[in-house]
Amino acid sequence: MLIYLLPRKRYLSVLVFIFSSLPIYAGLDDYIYPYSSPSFNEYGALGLIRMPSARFHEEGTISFHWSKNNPYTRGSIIAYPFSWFEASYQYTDVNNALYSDVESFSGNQTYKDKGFDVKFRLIKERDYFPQVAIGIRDIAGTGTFAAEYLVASKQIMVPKFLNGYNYLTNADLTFGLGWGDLSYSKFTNPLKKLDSSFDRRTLIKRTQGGEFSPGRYFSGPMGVFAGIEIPLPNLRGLKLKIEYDGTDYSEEGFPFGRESFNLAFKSIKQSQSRINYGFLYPVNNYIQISGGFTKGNTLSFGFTLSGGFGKKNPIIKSTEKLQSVDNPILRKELADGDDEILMTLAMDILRKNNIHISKGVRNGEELRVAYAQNKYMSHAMASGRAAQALDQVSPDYIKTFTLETMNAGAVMNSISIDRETFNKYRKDKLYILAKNNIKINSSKFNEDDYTFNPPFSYPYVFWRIEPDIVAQIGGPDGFFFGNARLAGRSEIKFSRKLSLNAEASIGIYDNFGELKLASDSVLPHVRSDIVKYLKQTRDYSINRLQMNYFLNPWNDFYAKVSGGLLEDMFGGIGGEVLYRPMYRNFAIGAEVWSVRQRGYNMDFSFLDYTTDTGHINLYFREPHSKVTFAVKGGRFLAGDSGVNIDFSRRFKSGLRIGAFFSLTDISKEEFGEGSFDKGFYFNLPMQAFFTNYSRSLAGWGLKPLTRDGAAYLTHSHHLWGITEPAQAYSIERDWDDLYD
Amino acid sequence: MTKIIFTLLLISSCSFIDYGQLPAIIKDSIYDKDIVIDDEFYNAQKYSFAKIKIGKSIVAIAVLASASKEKYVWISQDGVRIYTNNGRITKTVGLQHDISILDGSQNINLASFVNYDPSKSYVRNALIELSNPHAIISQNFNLTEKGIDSKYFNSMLYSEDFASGKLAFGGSNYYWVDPRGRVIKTEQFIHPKLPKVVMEFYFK
Repeated sequence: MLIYLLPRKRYLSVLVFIFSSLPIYAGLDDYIYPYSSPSFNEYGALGLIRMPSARFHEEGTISFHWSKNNPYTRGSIIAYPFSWFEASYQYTDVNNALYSDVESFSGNQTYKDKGFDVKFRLIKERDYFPQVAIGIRDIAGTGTFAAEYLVASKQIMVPKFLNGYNYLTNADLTFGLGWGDLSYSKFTNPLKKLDSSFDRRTLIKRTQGGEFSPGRYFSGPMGVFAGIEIPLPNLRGLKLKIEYDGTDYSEEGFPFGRESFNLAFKSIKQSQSRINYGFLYPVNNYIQISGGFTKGNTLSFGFTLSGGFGKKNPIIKSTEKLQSVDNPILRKELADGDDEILMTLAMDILRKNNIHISKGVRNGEELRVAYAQNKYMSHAMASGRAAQALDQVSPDYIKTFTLETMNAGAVMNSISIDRETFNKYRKDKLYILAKNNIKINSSKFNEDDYTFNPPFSYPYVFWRIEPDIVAQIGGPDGFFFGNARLAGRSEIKFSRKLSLNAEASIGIYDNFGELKLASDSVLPHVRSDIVKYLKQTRDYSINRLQMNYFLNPWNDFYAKVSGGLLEDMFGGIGGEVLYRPMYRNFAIGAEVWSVRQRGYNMDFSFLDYTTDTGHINLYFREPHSKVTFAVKGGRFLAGDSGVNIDFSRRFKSGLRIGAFFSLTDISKEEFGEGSFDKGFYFNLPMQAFFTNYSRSLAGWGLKPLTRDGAAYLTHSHHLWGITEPAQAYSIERDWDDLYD
Repeated sequence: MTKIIFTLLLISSCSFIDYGQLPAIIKDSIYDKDIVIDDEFYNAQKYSFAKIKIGKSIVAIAVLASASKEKYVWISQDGVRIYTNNGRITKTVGLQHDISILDGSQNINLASFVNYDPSKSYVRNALIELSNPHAIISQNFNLTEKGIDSKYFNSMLYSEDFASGKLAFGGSNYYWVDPRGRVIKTEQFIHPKLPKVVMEFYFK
């Protein structure tokens, strides 16, 4: 495209500079071309208007993209677990086809297509070489929008002779090869020389959907696509996009009405032009608005919400300062020689910093306190703040602070901080040097070890009331159903080891009345009767009433016995054990439960279905990638046996991005649509949006289908979560927070 | 395709939001209460101070921490420091987007109000360092006298047109100067990502 803008004699020069240009890193460009992060195409992949590019957001970015291009309305959730991996999930409303051929079943509902796309970076951009990526669209779906591509993108710099065309500075050029829906040019597939199976696309027959189709990938004829993204100067980051569209519109979706698909009622406009034009307007770093004119006959529109949540202080920096006390010298004098006063003063200043002492003792030059805190996501920060606070009240003869983190009645870790070293590097925040004199040990709670036992009257009640939403999207009864409700959650501690978790909710507004579809599952309806639960708990529900007794019989070994209403759909009794060694990257546990299905009203009634379920749980954290693998193998709620594999990555900020799948001994037909259980989730740290520190996480998870296979009990206070501070890496990863 | 398709989308909180904490973004946008400087307020202040308004949402009082000729340093309660020279903001520390005039604050008198001569040119140039994101830009200033402003203590009003080369950051700054030659109010655009900064100076 660039060539057409320039006099003929400059062709060669332009071509040369395109492939030999350097990226721009000038500070001023951040003002002339602000908000320069890449943008999404209509399919929810970083790219141009409809075509993908080789660009990626920084790791830890979570985005939502919505686009409208008749006949498609598409919502996408995109996550970047790594800077080289883009994973996106799409939900497409196909407006030229009905949901089903049974009118009473689908009504006015149009066809909904779910798709999962991936893109991997193969080569990182260098001075003289473009960034290269490979992607698969609709990797495990019905193939309605299936495409594969190999794409290269290069940021280009305009040389001096193009003065007057300065608007091309930082332009991003993309060129790609496509297969499937991106094969308009219909070149012969060169991959068939490797294997003749690449010659034509093969589709899985008799599929329940949701299956991978390796026989399809990169097969059949090949096409090309290209485009350029041009930021315009001093227009608040506005970008112009022009692309050569490689889409084969005779293959994408249901192009020719009933000829393509028996539920399609209307043909789709075919392309009148291969050139698409579009713009992107970034409102700020987090919101983008896009529009375009595609196929020579169709307008499009979209917007994106996006945030990089992986780094420390990702959106808003937490500014909550350490709380100090007046006249620390006087306090130190008061505490001098009187351990009871020392402990009282210590408890006071730590409480000001939301750290609560449970027990304490002075052993010679060591001040040892056991504390609980629900304020700081970073255990290193909690320890650092505790040490800074204790330093204000402790007499000079105290040389070591030993801080024990307590949870569920057990000591999770014991952190010994050398006071002199800690203070020596405090001013300059040299945590790398300070941590050399900090020891992390495994420890076991022993009440007799402590002399300071602050009065604590049981039962102690923690409670909160908060808004809550339960939603269901994409069902045949309607696209969106939801219940906005008020949820009350409480924990009553009867003793250090015994507690009751209670959760209940009151519905405020919902549209569940129109939900009517019953489960067709051939397995016991352990999950697929969700419509009955949703409809019958519109007014109120008891979501949980779980009694827990925690034990910590040996170092690194934890146990729990629980009973009651364990989750929305099951109640019963059972227990869990976990071995989690302090200086290892693995943990192993087991759980066993005897449960009965709860009544649809979610009160104290039960249905007839009972079962015994249990699993061996293995956890492994790969230190280099920081990916945690959790494998749960055993018997699931519907009586099927197999494994659930979960892999997730935790980021510095506390963000966790994960996905899971399950394989059990039921057939694809028994499982039903989707073929096997799978889904993804992410937990966003709420302190990213506040100036105060908080351990709160907003969890968001999505299972494409709610089926009965591979369903497991979602009891509260799972030991893996409870014992998170019990491994050294959960402290060591955050040493840079030590002096915050 | 008559399949049962259910998608369960659960939006729930693993922990909880403390509703006492308003997101900082919201806090900024709803805080539009102005501070009225009346006699009572003025008399209650021990030191010279400045009222600072950034855009429509941020209003703060900063106290004069040091003064050397016409170079002043103002410190707000939350630790933001604003350096002025003849009323012009030459440096800020602690704002979301800080600036610093490189050497200009020391050697170039950007606003020359005393003995202003309309027949002379008051075109000046300065390098300005911007933060978040970092850049150094060149700005041209041209000071002109606009006359007496009867609406603001009959002070002399000066306007200062500025431009920033390739960067579309330009406009007019205004300075109100009392008969003693002291700047008593300014309206300035100091950073491309900040709205207009209005400072009113109250000397004691």
